[in-house]
Amino acid sequence: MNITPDMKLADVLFHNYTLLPVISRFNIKLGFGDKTVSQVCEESKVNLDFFLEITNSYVDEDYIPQKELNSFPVSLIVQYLKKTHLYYLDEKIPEIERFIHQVIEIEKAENDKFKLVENFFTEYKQELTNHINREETNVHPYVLEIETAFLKNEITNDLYSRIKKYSINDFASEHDNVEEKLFDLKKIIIKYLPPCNSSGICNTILIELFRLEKDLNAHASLEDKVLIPKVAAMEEKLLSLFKA
Amino acid sequence: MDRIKFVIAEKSYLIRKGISSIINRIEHATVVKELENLDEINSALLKYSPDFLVLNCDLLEQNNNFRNSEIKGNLKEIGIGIVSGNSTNPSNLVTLKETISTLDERDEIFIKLRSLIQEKVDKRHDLTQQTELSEREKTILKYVAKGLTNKEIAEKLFLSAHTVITHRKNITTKLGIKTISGLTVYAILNNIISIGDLE
Repeated sequence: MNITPDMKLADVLFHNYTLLPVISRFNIKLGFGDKTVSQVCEESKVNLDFFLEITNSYVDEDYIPQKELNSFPVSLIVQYLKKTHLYYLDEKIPEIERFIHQVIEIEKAENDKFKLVENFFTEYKQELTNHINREETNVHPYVLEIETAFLKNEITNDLYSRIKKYSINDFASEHDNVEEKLFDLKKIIIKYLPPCNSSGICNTILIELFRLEKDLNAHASLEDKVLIPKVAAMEEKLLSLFKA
Repeated sequence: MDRIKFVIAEKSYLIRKGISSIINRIEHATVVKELENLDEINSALLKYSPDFLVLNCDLLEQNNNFRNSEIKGNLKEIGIGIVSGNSTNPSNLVTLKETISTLDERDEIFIKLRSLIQEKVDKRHDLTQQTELSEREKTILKYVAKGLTNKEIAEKLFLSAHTVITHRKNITTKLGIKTISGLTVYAILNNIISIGDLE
């Protein structure tokens, strides 16, 4: 079922609770009563079309964007990606860390084995942090600059040589895979750790890992399917401008 | 056991969803990716490494890049063609493993798919039934956990690098763990290596 402007946002969430963190990223707070999606977006100054594309593709992997994706400014996408990064690093990862810590406290007898999970997760956190930092310090400023130049319809020598040296497609090809470690972690907890006395918390950790994985996948597909093709098209236009 | 993975490339939404729901109902089988056309086929094959690729043969004719594509040779092993309507010849461009027609009856489709899936399951059986690592694999895992490269491991054990790679693939298939850190954790949990060895 597609999410449409006339649906009540409350109903949308009753059907797809996984959208809760997505709603927060748009700075939409709960307590919207019977307001529709379009009303809430208007009040919260959220671009309605962008909201619909993001939420629909989040709940349905096969969702095909309805609107010409070029109609959203790159800055809007970047802003959303940044919010998502914050959600991972400031909310989800620390939360999972706290749960892992609780398990270690409880599992005194096999403490050292559960500590391996903690180390593994710390490594993962570092990998994710590096990945995010690289995007925010290199890629995001670059794509914003490309958009500015594209809108002005002019390209400087400097920008020309930078596109030549490292284009968005180079970034895409180096876009490292941060899901593998997450996948292994789930396997290890489910299959290879000693039986867990604190199974309640272990289950919570697993559920959080599954959710994080889903969110990361949606995040990656927004980058791969929307941001990268859009920026690549602008680069191409700018390069042709330079030659002319 | 990991399930037998299918990628589907079919333009028609109705047919795509239909074949996908049929495959997902068969034991051991799962559809990992659906594509509308062949534009992203190479990256999809790389990403998912499916056991089978179900594709509408009309797409082959329409895609110009296809002639030189790497997947072409592969289709003899993994390709299942979909032909619609009365046409019988799937494609003269490629050799396929199997062909399904939109006019096939229910049982026909299930029999074809089941036998393909069973063949794969049997092949994997030996490997995945025994999830225990062999002594040789344990030795290799120990070196992997210590951070040695394939080449270094090969030199230490007087094996070819190729053999080491095969062992590592089997280790990953048996355990379902891909990353080196993950393998290291497994090795410690199972006393194949001690934390002290990692220093």
